[in-house]
Amino acid sequence: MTDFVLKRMVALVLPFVQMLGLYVIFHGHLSPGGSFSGGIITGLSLIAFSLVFGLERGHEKISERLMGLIESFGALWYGAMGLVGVLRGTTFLMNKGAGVPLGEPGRLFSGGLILLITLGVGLKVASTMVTLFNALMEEEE
Amino acid sequence: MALAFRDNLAVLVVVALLSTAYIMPLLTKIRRFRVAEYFAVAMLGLALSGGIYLAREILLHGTFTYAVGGWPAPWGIELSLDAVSGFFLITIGVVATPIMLYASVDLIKEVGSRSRAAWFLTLFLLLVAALCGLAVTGDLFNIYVMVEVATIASCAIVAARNDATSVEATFKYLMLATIGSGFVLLGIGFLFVLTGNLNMNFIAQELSMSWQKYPTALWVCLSFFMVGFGVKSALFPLHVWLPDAHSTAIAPSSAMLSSLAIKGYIIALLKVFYVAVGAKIITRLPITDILTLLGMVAIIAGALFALAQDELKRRLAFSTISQVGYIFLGIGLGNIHGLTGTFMHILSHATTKALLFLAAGAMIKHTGKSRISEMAGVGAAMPVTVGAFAVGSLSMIGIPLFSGFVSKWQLLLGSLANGNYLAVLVLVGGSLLAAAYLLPVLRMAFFERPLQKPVVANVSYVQLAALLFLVVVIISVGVVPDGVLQLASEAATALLGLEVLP
Repeated sequence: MTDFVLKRMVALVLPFVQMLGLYVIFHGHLSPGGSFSGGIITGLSLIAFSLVFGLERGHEKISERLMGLIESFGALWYGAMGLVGVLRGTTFLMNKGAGVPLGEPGRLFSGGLILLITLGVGLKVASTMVTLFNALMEEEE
Repeated sequence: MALAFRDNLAVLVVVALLSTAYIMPLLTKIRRFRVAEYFAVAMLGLALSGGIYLAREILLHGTFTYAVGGWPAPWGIELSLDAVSGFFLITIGVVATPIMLYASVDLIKEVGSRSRAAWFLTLFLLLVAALCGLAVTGDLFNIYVMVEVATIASCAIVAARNDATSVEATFKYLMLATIGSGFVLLGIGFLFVLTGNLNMNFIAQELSMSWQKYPTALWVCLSFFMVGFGVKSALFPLHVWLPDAHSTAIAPSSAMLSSLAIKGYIIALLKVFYVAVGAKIITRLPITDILTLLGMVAIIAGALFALAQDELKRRLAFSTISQVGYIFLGIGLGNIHGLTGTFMHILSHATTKALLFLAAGAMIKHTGKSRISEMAGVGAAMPVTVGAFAVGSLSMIGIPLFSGFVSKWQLLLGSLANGNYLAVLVLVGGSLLAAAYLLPVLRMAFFERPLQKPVVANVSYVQLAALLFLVVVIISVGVVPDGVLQLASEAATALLGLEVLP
């Protein structure tokens, strides 16, 4: 696409979209939204970039290889966080009972493992969205 | 509170397999492909030993539950470990490990490229993990999630080769399986509305008090489950996706789908019918008669369709439809022998059909022929592979000393106990028909003179080891069925005994 207005607008808007996505992910345990919606917003920002500036430049920003690694990492991270409870002698995914400090309710760094888990899921969702988009785009060529 | 190792093992089996699935893309990127494949085989072997350990614990110390995240039953997700879970975990491990071993030999060549092969490993392990999840969960919505994961993964491994026919088969499968999922979800919704619970034990308690108030709603709900899981496990009139999907996929995919994937849905159906709704209610409703009838029709119709096929893998695919009929017949009989037979048949059909599909895959690959009529003289070229196929055939027919006999015997006892002589007739007839559609393959392979010059085939030793492992399982279950049979009858008792008195 060669449209000048579109490119400028996207360049202006994208940082804010990504910021919103990360905000939603990080506040998953405090406010509506969370890892899934935040991950999709973040993923969509990357997709919008690829759509407007072309797939090649999208790959330059984040290579497919890195995307694949992030995708696996997100899922493994969730499993690892779940194992914290098992290693502390309680059940899988146990949070407070496993002795994780919960912090002060309402603060950003509170809720124990939930924040860490949402981070992993957010990364996973965002990278999966981009991978799906890339797969569909490459099919067309 | 410190939890025993076995408690955490219930969830660790599933989590380990899920994690392995996601390690695969990482491992194939940084190490040689072989390393990833053997890692997958090792993890499946570990899952098998975990399953055996859990089954032993369950037999010795009775059933136990596990609250994920420490949230107790009506609020959190509860895993309930009974003999059913133990039995199915063992089945999964026993079958998935040799299939993975078989696939590891020439996976990249089979599916086309290295990255596709990496994704195949991921999806294969996701499917196995979802099936393990179905085995251990005690929560209806968890069942739905696992069913979805299994469905998507099995659709994807049908399309692994990415040629036109398998993609078309996958599309058909995906559409029908999605409709099935919709029905299952509606059924779960009905149960939730009727009882206000998603935990199966709580639903059972609730329903035992109130089911007579909503007979129609319960009927609708049970029919949804029957149709939904029926589509997914290829119960006869709903089987249309199966022959294409199972015959066009690569051999390890077909083996996996035919032997395990459809069994996962059957286990889910068993849990919904006998645990959530409860044996007391189910056996009082005519839905069991419908299942018996459909099972009988499936046995005969599937076998007749199989007779008409000349393509080897298609014949095996239709044979699966016939064998699923046996399993549903046992579910419908609803007595201890019938359900024991169902469980035994889940195990014996899983091992047998995996063996048949893997052996058939090797035969087709090395001769380049996919039709039975062209297979003349294959037996001389690859005696071990075709010998394994022969063992599979005999077990499928139900010859004594092979595992198929044990399960069919139990089903026969179950039919006699119910006084259902038509079912007895159908069971015997189904076995005769199985002989009619499997023995010609052996006659062609061993006793016909090859038309062209005989093929020389070297099947790799790893693949032969996978086949021989399954042969050993089939024969040892057939000769000394005691341990497995005890576990199966324990599972049947668990299903029948979980009834809550009204």
